[in-house]
Amino acid sequence: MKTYWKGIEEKEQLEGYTAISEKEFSEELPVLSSITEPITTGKSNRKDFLKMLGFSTTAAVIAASCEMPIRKSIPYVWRPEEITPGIANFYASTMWQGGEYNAILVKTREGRPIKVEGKKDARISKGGTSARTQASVLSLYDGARYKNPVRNSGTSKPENITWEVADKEVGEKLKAVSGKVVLFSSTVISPSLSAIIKSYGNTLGGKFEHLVYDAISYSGMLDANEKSFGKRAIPSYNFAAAKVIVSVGADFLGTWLSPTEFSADYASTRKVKGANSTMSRHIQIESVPTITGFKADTRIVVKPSEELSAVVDLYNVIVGGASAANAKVAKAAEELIAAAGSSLVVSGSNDVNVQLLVNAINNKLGNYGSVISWSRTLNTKQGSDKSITKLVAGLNDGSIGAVLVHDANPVFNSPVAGVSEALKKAFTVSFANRVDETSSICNYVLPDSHWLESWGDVEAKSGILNTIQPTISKLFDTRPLAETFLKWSGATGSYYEYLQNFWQTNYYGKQSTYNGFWAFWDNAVHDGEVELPASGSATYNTAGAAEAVSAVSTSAASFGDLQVKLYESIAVGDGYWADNPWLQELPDPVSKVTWDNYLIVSPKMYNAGGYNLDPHFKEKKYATATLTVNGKSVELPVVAVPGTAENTVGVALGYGRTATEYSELNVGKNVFSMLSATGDNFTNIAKASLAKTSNTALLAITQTHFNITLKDLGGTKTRKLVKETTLAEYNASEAKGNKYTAGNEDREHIMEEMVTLYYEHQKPGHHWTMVIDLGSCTGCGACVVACNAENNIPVVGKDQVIRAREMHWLRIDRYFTGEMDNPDVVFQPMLCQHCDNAPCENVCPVAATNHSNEGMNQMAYNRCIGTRYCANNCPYKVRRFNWYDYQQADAFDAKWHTDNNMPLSETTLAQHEPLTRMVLNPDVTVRSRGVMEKCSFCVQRLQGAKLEAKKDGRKMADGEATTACQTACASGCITFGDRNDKNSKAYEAFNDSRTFGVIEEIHTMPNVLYQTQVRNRTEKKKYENLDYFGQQA
Amino acid sequence: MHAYESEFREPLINGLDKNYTKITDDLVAPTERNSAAWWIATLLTGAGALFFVFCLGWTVWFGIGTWGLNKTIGWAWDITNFVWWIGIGHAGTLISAILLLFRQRYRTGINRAAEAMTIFAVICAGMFPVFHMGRVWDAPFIFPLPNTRGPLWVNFNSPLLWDVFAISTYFSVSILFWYSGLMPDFGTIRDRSKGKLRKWIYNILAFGWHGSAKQWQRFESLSLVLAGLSTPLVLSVHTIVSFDFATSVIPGWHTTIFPPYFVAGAIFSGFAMVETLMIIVRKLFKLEDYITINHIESMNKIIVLTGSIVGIAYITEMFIAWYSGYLYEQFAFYNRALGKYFWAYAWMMSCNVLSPQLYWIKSMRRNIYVTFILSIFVNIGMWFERFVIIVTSLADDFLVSSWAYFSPTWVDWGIYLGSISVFLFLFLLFCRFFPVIAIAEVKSIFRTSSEVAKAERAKAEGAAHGGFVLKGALNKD
Repeated sequence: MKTYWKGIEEKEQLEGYTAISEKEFSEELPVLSSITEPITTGKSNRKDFLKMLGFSTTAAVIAASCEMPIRKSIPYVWRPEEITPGIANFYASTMWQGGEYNAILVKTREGRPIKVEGKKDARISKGGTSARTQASVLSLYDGARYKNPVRNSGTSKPENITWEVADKEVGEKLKAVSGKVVLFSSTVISPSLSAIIKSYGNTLGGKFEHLVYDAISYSGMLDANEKSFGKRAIPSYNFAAAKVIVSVGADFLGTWLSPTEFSADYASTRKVKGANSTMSRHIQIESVPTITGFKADTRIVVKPSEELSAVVDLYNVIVGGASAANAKVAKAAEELIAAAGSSLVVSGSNDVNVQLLVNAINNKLGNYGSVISWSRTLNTKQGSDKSITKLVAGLNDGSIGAVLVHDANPVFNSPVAGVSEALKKAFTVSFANRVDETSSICNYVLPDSHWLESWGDVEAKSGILNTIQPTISKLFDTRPLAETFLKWSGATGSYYEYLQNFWQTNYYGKQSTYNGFWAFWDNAVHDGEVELPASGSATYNTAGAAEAVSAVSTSAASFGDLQVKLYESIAVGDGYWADNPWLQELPDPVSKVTWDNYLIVSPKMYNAGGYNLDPHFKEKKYATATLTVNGKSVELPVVAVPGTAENTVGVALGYGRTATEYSELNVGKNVFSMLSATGDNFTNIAKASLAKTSNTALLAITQTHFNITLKDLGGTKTRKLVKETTLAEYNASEAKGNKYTAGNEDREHIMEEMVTLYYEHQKPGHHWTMVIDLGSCTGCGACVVACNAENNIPVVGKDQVIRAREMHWLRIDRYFTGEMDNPDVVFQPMLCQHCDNAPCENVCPVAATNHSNEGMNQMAYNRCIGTRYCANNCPYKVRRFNWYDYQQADAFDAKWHTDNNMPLSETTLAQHEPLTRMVLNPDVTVRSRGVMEKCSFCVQRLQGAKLEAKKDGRKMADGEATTACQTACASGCITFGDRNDKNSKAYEAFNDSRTFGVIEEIHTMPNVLYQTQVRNRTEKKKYENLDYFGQQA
Repeated sequence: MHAYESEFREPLINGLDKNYTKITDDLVAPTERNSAAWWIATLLTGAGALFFVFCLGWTVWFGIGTWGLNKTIGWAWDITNFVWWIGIGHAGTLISAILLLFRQRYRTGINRAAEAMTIFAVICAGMFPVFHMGRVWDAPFIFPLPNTRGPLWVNFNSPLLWDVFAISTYFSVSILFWYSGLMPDFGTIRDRSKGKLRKWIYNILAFGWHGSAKQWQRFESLSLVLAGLSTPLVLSVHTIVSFDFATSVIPGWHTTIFPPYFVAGAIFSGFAMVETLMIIVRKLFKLEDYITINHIESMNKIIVLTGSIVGIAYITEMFIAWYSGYLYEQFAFYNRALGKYFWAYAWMMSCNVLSPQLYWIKSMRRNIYVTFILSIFVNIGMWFERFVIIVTSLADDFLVSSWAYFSPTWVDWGIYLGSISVFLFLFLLFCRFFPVIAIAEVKSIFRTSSEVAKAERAKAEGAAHGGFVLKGALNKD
């Protein structure tokens, strides 16, 4: 073989050539030599040295100058037994706060409670929750909580003290007090706490008194029951058993007594399926619209005073056999008589006489025992309005020397004037856990622990006991009230031990399921609930009914032409919840206003009074008016709500707090002083006068409605966004075997034309589908707050809501139909429809929003560049854009935002505090500024459920995967599941004849569907010609 | 180029004193003299341009929340301005490319400035899609670049992505066309330059142009090739911009008429902007002989044509809305004309459809003052057209519960007015340093009028000048 050589060197195989040819570079790299060899060898020169120096210095500077965020993560040294990082634990517990009762499961992650879920087997709340319950978890992480006991001398700044000092000083002062020691509280339904209070009272001798006062009072009802049944208690109502319900001003689905329980029972009578369906018949007689009224089959609009005469009318017809003044009420009375024994009359009045009449009516109808039961009493409202009068009188005459305040805020929500001045005359101690108007003037604040940090028990209905267990160790130096009283009464041992002993003594013997106390106790805590045999009974006597008729008639006639009705708002209640930003930002279901209270009037009055300043809602500017009641005036913006009685003004109680941590939460005006004394109690209707001012106010209203038919063009078509029918029509078309029932006929046509040229997304596994029953949705907003909690949805504050930038992934659309003075209303929860042919998906230039093979429309947040094209092209307008860094997803903290004058509200910035951020769900990304977001179908929950099934090596069962809105709903109006599973509830609901998609004619193929609302009434409204309107007449 | 001389062809350049030297002198003059007015105008618009940068900085620092947008109206002034500027940018290409292909030789008087205007308008336009992004720092995601993000790729279904390609192509071709045309003229300026630095700079700008026959031949070929490339772009760019709306589902956007309607509107507004600028330029730089009343009349003819096309499109939309029988479409158009934004619709109709109808009258077409005012009107009207389409459609769409209203903030105003400043600032720089009229090309039309016309004119001029025939008017070379 011939050898070729390249040069003399190769040919001659000079020494060193072989070595060189094996290297990549024929010469030594100078830089390398400067590293490897000492500079003194002379192989690397000065230049190389400088190069190295330059490079390494620059590299070091660059590497050191980028400040890396320091994230501290501390591993468990000993892993707590129950905690697996990344896996949520659920604990049964009970919420009893601010007059709201709910049996729940607390979801904790790594030891932090982050969400509450309704307990499915709960005997009272029946698995549902309310908006307040859902929001309550946020209060645990409220920066306004007291972090230790506080002494407030009144002259200097409040000082922080230790519990030892507090116990000593308070103990001495209480002993030294000459007058009575009063515990002023709202209803206490903890049997063990009641016992502790009693035994503490005994240690003080005769000088102790416990005054119970509920700011939203049922005192009149309790007093009436005392007269009629000899029991100052409230019976159990079973709305599921009532075939005809007449409610006179009682918002039993929203706020009245036990709305979560009632919603579940009521909804069970409102779901129709198949021919021969039956429904309860619900007649609401009311002046100021409530969600209950809007759900009614027939709504009779009367003035507030006529709510009183309506009860008289009902009494006269049903009990007296006489005639009624109001023909519509007379008709209602006839229906009640026809359904005697399975009917129900309720009234929201706090007037004893009205409730006496209601008792007489229900008794005559034979509803006691069937619909209303005394076997278990509802204990959540026990307060007496006399308490507040007594307190102020006692303080003023010096007979009360010390006041201990628990779960009450009399300075804020007393109808009696001068509470604050009176309290200053005595020695005062507050047990509040957050700053409120009363605690800020008390001499000592001995903060109670948050309920999520404490042990406890609750007896909401006699014989149904719930346990409260701590789900996190105490965040601050607080002490549960029971523990404080135990200590003060000289007992040794913890409250936990006391509680066990208490249960062993009082309840263990009454049950037979468990053998051995510990089995009983462990199961009680595990289940969160124990049912003991019911034992109560009561007999009706007619005492006072006859006198009540004339008293109520006289009273009804005494109101003038213009009347005011004060009502409890779904969000803030008696003001206890007003410091909760989630609830402040929850749009009121009726008016859709957030962050405020306002005067509700009828559209006619609104236009006639010249309040309509901004008919197109360009600035959301409202004219204000001064409302004067009993010589007290407030100036508030005026809002029109169709269905409000003429010459009637409605105002929500609970707003106008002054002592919350952020001025932003101190919105609205306090109208508790406008409650007027009627007998021993305070009632919420009064004679009023209204004067328009020249001022205007901006209201953060989230939905603005216009007349949207094309009537002006002579058109008759309407937007079929919601559908309605009557029971008779529904049954008739079902009986004929119609695929789509009355009210839903146009769907047939739409489904026929559902052909597409496009590629269809394949969904071989699951096909998630949600069906929402419009018939049972009450619009209460529990789902909205649940969604906030589950999905880390930021609060944006009043200013941003005015700019129409609320972030709620789930909103509740409100549609009026029919007449302006008495419309029908449909609530439609609107969330991402997860369209299988989604308009948002094809327009995103970077494919940040795309379709999953389970039928979900997904967002890849870190891919999103924020063109907002998807939101523009969304026909449902459910996409939400992060206009600012609302939730601190970027690396900048609250301080950076304040330092840089970022236009964020106080409450939004409060979300950036490390304490508040503990409420965030670690399974859900917080979204950074400039990113689009929307409902994800709670994909984290679906994945979680899938993983559980996978771990067990089985197929996922129907109902295992749930969304937060679905589980929050007390009415059970949301069905969710896998449509590919032919046995699933979702499949059934999807194929129901009532089911339709919103604007599905544009071929979005939504995976969220709705079911036609069915109303049980004979009179037909022309549903094919719905007229949606709002505040512009 | 030796063109056929019609016996009746009117001269395209006025003035009896013209010869090639004079033309060069006239046209290079603005780059060779300093003027106080120019300095004042440049400083003012420069300040405006800085404010534009400030407002963009403000937006990026604080967030898109500083604009008046809301959950319902995700685009308002940002995309209105974008489409408006893109539309304005259409005249340049149309004049350079389509009129070149149609051998409309009068175009040489205005093509250079129109092309410059196109480029500056496209620069302004391009700012909006970039800065309307919530996360502008992630803007490179819209380019189909190979990446380490797994299978993530851009979405070729999205009209916004088509925009990226359409606008970048348009911008590149326009700038090539404009710059290649500038090269011989830079050569001319260089050759006249006295200062060493000036000569050096213009030499670089001229890419070493020395005017050989081979260069001229290549230059002509390049012009034709680029004209051929640009012609479809005139139609495609605004067609694609219109797809942003036409391919959506929102009533008022979802319309097949959009592509031709948008292209007509773009040419309409582009010509109006050319007129606005040219009327000022010809006056200030004394170029009345080159940018003649004939030019203005021709452009006004195009304006009345495109304005009427746009008007027919408006009426067609209304008719189709009624004819469709589709409630949402009907409401969208009812709302557009009589809803809460009726004033925007009124501005649009009166400026775009009614005002150009004046141009059916010849004296109006040839009236400088009327033309100037109407050109401003047309641009106001075209801005409102985009506002009407974008905002009124979004504000009130399908679900009444989400209806909303848009009100601009000071940042919106700042960015809009700032973009006009940027445009004018760039145009002023252009006027000062570049020849505003294509010198080489204008020279090619100097000799196109017929001998008869020349004689006629010389006679007329001679009479005017007391029987003395100016030499330049009849000199052949």
